[in-house]
Amino acid sequence: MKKILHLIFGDARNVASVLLAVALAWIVAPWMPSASGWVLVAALFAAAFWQAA
Amino acid sequence: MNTTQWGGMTAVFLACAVEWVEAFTIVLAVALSIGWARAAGAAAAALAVVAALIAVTGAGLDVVQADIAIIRAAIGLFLLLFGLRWYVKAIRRYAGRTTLHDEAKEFAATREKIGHAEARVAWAVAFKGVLLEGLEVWLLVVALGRSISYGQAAGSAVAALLAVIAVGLVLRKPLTQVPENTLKFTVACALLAFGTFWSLGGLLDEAKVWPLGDATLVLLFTVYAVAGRLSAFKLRMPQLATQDAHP
Repeated sequence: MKKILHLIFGDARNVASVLLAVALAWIVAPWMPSASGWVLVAALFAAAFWQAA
Repeated sequence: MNTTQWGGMTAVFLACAVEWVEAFTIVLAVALSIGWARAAGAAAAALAVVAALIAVTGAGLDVVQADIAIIRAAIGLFLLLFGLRWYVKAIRRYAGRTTLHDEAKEFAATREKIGHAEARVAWAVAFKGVLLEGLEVWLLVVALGRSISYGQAAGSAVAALLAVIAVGLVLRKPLTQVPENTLKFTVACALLAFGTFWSLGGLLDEAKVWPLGDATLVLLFTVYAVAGRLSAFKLRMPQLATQDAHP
């Protein structure tokens, strides 16, 4: 079961990275909706770089 | 078929091909211990479980009458979780921080593991190996199947399985020539592109967030691919500098 959950969600860092990135985009969306998507991209990329480093 | 459907089907095919290659290595190693018939039986049993899961989930999703935006957002978030994990792994492998997945090593390790084991233990190794790889295939079909078409996603997974079996049966050795990291990186970029598009498009007003519509998917894929390769290069630089200092 633990292995299946890991298959789906990855580790805690992975889950936290995605949730934070989406939250950031969500916060930006009311002011700049067309920029929110790229905020999500930038946040995810930063998270990937941080995890890979 | 439109670009989204082709992109989705290609992503499912490539991702599943990588998983099936890993499963094939395990089955091949077990086949050399207990024979092809038993090893293929174990693989078939695991594939039957995966096929049943895909069928049941597909039927279940048809019954669920949830708002399409909510489903898209949920699937988008799942794709981000799944894609980010693959993306990070592929970057680390490109950067030399994690060793590349080596099918020959996996094959040798599985052979050693079942070297003196009973036939039923070897059977279980093949079953469990194919099942675990198959579960990833199931997750991909469920995630992308809802937005391209469940039949197209499942068909792509089956096509990938048949392609790997065909090549594997001809070669009868681990498929070491498959550029697994490049495939995984490409698929990770596709999963992140779809996940980014659908998660935010489902949570917010899609037309406002992505004014370019489906064309954004190509742009997202390119950005993730270029950024990923650049970051791998950047992460590799300190290691190269160390090697130069201590040749």
